[in-house]
Amino acid sequence: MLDLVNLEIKLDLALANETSESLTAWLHEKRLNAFFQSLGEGIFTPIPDLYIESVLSYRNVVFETKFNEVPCSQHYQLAS
Amino acid sequence: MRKIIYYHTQESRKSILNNPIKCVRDDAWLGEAFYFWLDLEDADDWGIKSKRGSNYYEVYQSEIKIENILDTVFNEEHYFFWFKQIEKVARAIMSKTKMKPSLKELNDYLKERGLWNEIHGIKFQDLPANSERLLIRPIEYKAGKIRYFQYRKRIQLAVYNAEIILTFKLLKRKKCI
Repeated sequence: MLDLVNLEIKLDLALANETSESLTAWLHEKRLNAFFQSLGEGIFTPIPDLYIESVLSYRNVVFETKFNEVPCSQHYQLAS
Repeated sequence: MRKIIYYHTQESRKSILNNPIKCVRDDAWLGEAFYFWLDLEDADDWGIKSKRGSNYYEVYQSEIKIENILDTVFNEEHYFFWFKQIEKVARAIMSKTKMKPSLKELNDYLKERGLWNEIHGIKFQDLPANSERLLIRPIEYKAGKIRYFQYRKRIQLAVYNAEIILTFKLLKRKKCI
């Protein structure tokens, strides 16, 4: 048999002991954990500088600044 | 000891389950728990609608001890207690953090603070989504619109304490239609 009166007292006491800081910290931690869980399992690893350099120096890369400068539709085909 | 038969629906797998599977989804209405249906037809509907991964679903039957269940469906005192406490926690979180809690956050708060450890499960309800089983015609309006009156409750039990699940056995395996 559930003692609802006692359960309500327990909850009221817990809420009375909460401060704005304690609840905000708890909620932020919850949301941060939820965000990381949404990314899936794994570990973060820094991208090596070498990788970034190799991407930027790749000679066939075309950066679009004006769309009419893109040489041909081949790039779109490659992208797709 | 009072016990009632409930039904647990799962996607059909390679082997038969020996125990129910805990639902840990963020959108689970009453948090992480073992979810059961009171009516077999709701268990079937759930299998057809939401457990279609292998094209077959299974319904398991359990005897569940109900002494420490919060019954928000048929027990008026329990319902008003539950409603009051849920709103109380939500209001406290909103007033102290200026943020509205999600359902999961609210359930997590109660669970992590150990406030309701005595509550071994919560019985709750919504309305069936399926109107095909209704035995009365829908209400018809002049403009041609119709509206179904769902006179039957769709009742579930969220079990937090697995010890109250006394038995668990396969009842049926069926193809999703």
